[in-house]
Amino acid sequence: MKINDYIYLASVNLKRRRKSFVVNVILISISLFILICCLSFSNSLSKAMNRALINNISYRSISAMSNKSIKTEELVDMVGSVEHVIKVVPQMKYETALEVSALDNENFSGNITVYGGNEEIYPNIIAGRSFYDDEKNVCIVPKEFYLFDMNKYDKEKSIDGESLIGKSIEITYYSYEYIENSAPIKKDKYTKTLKVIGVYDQDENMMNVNECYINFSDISDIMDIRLEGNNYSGIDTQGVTAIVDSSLNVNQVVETLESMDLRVIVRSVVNEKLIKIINLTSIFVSSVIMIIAFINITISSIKSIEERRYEIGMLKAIGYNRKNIIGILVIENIIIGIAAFIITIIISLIAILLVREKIFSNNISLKSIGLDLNLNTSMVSLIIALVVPVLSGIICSGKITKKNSITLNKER
Amino acid sequence: MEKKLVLTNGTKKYKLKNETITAMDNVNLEIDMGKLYVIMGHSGSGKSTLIQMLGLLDSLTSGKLYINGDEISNISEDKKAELRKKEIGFVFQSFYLNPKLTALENVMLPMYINEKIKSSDRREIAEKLLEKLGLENRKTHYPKELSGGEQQRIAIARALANNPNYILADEPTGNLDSENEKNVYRILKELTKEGKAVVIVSHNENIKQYADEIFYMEAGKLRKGL
Repeated sequence: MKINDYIYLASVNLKRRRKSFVVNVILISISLFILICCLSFSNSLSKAMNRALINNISYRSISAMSNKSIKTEELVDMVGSVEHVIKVVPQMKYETALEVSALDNENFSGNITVYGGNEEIYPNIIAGRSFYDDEKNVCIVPKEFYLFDMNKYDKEKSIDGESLIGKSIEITYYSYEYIENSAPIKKDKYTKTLKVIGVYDQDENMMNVNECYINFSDISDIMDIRLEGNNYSGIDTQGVTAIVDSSLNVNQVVETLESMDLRVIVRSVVNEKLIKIINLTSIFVSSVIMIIAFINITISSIKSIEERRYEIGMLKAIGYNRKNIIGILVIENIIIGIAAFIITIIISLIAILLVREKIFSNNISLKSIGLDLNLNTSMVSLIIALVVPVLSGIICSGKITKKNSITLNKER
Repeated sequence: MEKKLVLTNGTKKYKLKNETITAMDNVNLEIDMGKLYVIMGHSGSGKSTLIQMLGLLDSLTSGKLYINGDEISNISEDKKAELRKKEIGFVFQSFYLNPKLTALENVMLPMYINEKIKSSDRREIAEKLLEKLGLENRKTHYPKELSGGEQQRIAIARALANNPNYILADEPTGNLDSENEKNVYRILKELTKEGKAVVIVSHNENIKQYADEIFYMEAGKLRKGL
C-alpha cells in the first residue's frame, strides 16, 4: 500500500468523522494550550527572575582596593586580567554625584548620582531601552525618581521615571583650580544634556531613587574636566570597580582578587539557593503539566481508536494486515496532532499577546517578566502533539489488531 | 497447480471459563472451482466456525488447511491477510460495510492493498462491479441510505474487488426478505459460471436449489447431503 493511499484513506476517515475529528482536535488543543501557557509563563518568569537576580548589576559589582600604593592604571590592568571580569573602571570614574540644572528644558535644581554603564552593562530595563553600542549623552533613570538631597527624602516629590522617557536632564559640572593645601576652586561651568532612554526598577536593583546610569565614557569626560590640573599621583585610594559577567562567577572573582592581595567589597550577594529553588519549582511545575497533557492526549487517542474496533475488524476481514491498519490510524493521529498544534499555537500567541498588552503592560513590574512564546516551548508542544497521539495510537491499535475480525465484529 | 481449498481433520476448540467447547470436530472438506457448496445446519452446529476457518478469519486447533496445494494451517497473520486479500472474498450476514464510506468507496477498499490494481483503475473496476450487481445508481450512497439487499450486494461487490478465486458467504441472506434473498443466491450462483468456487453457510432450505453440493453440520461434525 502506497503512502498516498494511507494519507487518502486517513483523510477520508477524518472527513467522514468530522464530529469525532473536531472533538479530538479540541481535546488535544486544550491540553496543549494549558501546557504552552504554563511553560511560557514559567519560562518567562524563570528568565525574569534569573535576569533580576543573576544579571543584576548590583550583584555583579565588586570594589577592589590595593593594600599597597599602586597606580590606578596598574590596578585596572591587574583586575581586568581576571577571568569573568568584563569591565574595570577607577572608582571615581564609575560613580559620581552631579547637579541637575534643567529638567525637560525647564529650569530645575536638584542632585543625582550617576553610575557607569554601556551596551553590555546596564540594569534590568522595565521601560524604554538600554544603551546602544557606545552611546553617549543618554541616561537610564529609576522608576521612582527623586532628584533631590537623599537626606531629605520626600516621596511626594518623586517623579515617575517612565514619564521622562524621551525628555532631557541637564547636568552641570565644573572644572577646578587646584591650589596646594587649599580646597579646589570652581573655575569653568560645563553642562551636559542627557536624554532619558530607559527606566529601571531601583528596588529590584537595590539602588537609591536618585541613582541613574550614564555611559562610562560620559562619566570619564566629566571626571577628566573635574580633575584637569589636579596633579595627583595617579594612586587612587578609592580603588576600582569591576563588573563580573554573571553574579554566579562573583565568588570565583573575589577569591582570585583576594589572592592578588587586594581588598574586595562585594556590593550585594546573590542568594544562590533561592535561584535554585525558583528554577527547580519552575521545572517541577512544567513537568507536572507536561505529564497531565501527555495523559489527556493518550486517553483521547486511545478512546478514538477503541471506538473503531468494528471498522478495524472489517479491514482485517477483507485482507488488511496489521501494518496497513496501524499505518492508517497513525496518519490520522498525525493529522489530528498537526491540526491541534496549529490551532493551539495561534490561540496561544493571541492569548499571550492579550495578557502582555492588556494586563502586564499596566503594571511596570509584571512588564519586566516579558511573557512570550519561545521556540523551545513550541517545539515541546509540537513533539507532544505528534508523538503522543502516534505512540498511543500504535500501542492501542497494535493491541486491537491482534484480535481476529470475528471477535472485533462482535465487540461492536 | 490445481486450484482447490482443502481441509483435513479440521478441529476448532474454544476455551470458555472452565470448559472447552468443540465447535468443529475432525472436519474434512474439498472445495473445487466452478461449484457452489452449501453447508447447512442449525444454529450452534459449527457451520459458521467452519467457514471462518476456511476464510482464515480464525486458526484451527488441529488439522490442516490447503489452498491451491499449499499448506496454510499455521502461517503468520500477515500471510493470512495476504491470502484473504488475493484468494478469498468473504460475505458476512451483517454486511460488515464501513458506514462512513459510500458504496463505491466500500467496493474500492480492498483494492488499496492490491498492488496489482493501479490506482487509476480502481474506480472503474468498482463501478463495473456495482453495475454488474445493479447498483450503478447507488454508488454515492452511504450504507445507512440503502436497503438490506442493496447493502449485501455491495458486500458481494467488495468481496469480488480483487477477483478472488473463492467466495465464502456466512448466512448472506440472514437479514434479507425473500425477494432479496433470491437475488443474492442468483448472483452467487452466477459467480460459479465465472469459474469461482462459492461456499455458502445457511440454515435456509431455499438455498438447496442453487447448490452443486450440500453438506450438513451437526454438533461440529460434517456429513455430505444427498
